[in-house]
Amino acid sequence: MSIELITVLMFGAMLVLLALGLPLAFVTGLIGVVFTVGLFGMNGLQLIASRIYSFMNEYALVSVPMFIMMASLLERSGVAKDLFDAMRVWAGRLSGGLAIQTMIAATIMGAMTGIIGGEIVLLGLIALPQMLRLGYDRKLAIGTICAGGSLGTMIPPSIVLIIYGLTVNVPIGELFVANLVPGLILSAVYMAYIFVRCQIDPRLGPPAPESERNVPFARKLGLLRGLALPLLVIGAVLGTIYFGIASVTEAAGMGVVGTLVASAVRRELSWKGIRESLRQTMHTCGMLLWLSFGATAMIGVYNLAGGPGFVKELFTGLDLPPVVIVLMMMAILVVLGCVMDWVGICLLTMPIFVPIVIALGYSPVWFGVLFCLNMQISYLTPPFGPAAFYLKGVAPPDISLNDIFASLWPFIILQAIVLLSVLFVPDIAMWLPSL
Amino acid sequence: MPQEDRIARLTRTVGESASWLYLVVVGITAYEVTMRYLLNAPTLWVHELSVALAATCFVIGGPLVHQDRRHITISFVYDRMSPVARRWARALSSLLTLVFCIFLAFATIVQAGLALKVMETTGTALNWPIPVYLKTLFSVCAVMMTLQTVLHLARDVAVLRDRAGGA
Repeated sequence: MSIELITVLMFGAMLVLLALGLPLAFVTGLIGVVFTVGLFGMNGLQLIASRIYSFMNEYALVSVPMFIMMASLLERSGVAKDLFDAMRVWAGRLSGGLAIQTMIAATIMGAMTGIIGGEIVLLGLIALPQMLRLGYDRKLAIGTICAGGSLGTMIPPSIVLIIYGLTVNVPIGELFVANLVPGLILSAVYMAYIFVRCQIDPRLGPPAPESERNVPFARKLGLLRGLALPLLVIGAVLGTIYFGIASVTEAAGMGVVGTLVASAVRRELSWKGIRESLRQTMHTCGMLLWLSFGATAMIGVYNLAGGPGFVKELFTGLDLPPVVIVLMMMAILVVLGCVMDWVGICLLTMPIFVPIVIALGYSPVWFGVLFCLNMQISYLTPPFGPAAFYLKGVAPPDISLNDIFASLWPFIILQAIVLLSVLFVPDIAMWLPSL
Repeated sequence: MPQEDRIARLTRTVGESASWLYLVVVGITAYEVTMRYLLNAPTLWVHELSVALAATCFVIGGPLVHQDRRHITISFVYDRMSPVARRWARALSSLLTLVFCIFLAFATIVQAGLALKVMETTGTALNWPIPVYLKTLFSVCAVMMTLQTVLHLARDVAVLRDRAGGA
């Protein structure tokens, strides 16, 4: 069977099976095993099994449950609410001030967690009702929550970057450092957008009434004090990674210890809370890892069949400038992001794309930042936009899924602008790691 | 107790007990960091044990999530199907899942068998037989998922028949 035919058959089968409602892990896994047996016989299955086995034995992968547990413990504590309250009082008379403060809180929360989901749910429960109460434009409020809540995987630590680093063999610490500035820029661009929109039309984001704004300065500072410990934990975790003191996994493990201590000091720690966090970690990792197992099987057989070489020739045979090839890859990722989960996309496309990117003379770290930015877009784009689904779960019933998706377009455009900026000006990402 | 409930209960009990291993990983990581930075006495075993414990949870997480059919699904086409088409799609999905599980079970059983035959060890300073243990666990979980899928399929087919008979 020719590699062209294999490529078409695999991709076609994937779309059909996904449409059928077969879980992604089984779609990729099934394609993987069926093609293996078809092309290489039953013995070929051993290669698949051993590939999956070596994947689960990566030490860096241990950091994934650690970061998820850390996020889960934080979600269960009152830190998010305190953070939002502490930020809220600074909004003042500024139109759109509450949305901007929400974005700041979301960015800080993004530095505590490496996954999206929990953060959007929390913001949906805490910040959305406040913005709607003040009479904010619904679309602006919804977009702020979904875009801000998705920053969890953009601001390090980030599970997306951990999986990317493992897939293409790039130091995860370096990826984290490179992603920091683009992540903060993305957050700043969101805030600038909210600010400008609300300056043009102040009715979009009315300030809180005078009576609520009248918070004594001392009390404003007091609200910040409760946040000192959680922020210290983040600083410690990220600091050890950035300065290369501990491995990502050790830093993540110590992050859990720090979070446990912080929760205990805040008197929010209970066995029940720990048990629930562990259960959530177990489920999330079960989904994530089995998705990876399936994708590993599929990309494994595609590799054996000579797929990467074929795709490489396809791209380089176009005789286009390298930057156009990267742009095409980004377009492919955006399209895939509409219909697939980021883990699947990462494991299926990165082993093929990254060698091409390196051959073109680009840095795989820079490409990792582009990938991460691209996945920000994938969280918001319909029909499969996880951020919208997370918010739908906790939003008032009169906000439909269509309302949510309709609110996200301006933010998707902003993400695309930041993505293109990093694409054309790599130094935005590469400047910090080069220090 | 019906077979289905028994499997469901076993999966949940094992899954939730195993989740405590994550806390053990946190504990030994803290121990390692303390020993290394404060006492300058790094351990040999924390690294390997962490990987083995986490992998245990990863593997067991498969059947745990599969039990309630909660593996991530991209459902926007499925959501737009008619109820009849949905029932067929569900049964067909279970059948295809079964094909995958059987192949996976076969592959992992052979893999575990090969590891057992030579009592494969990690080949590090500690040389623990972790591969034998993990590969065996992997095959057990693959078999477990095969059984779960058989039960899922049986239920889906029963639903199909019910509707066909009722209508």
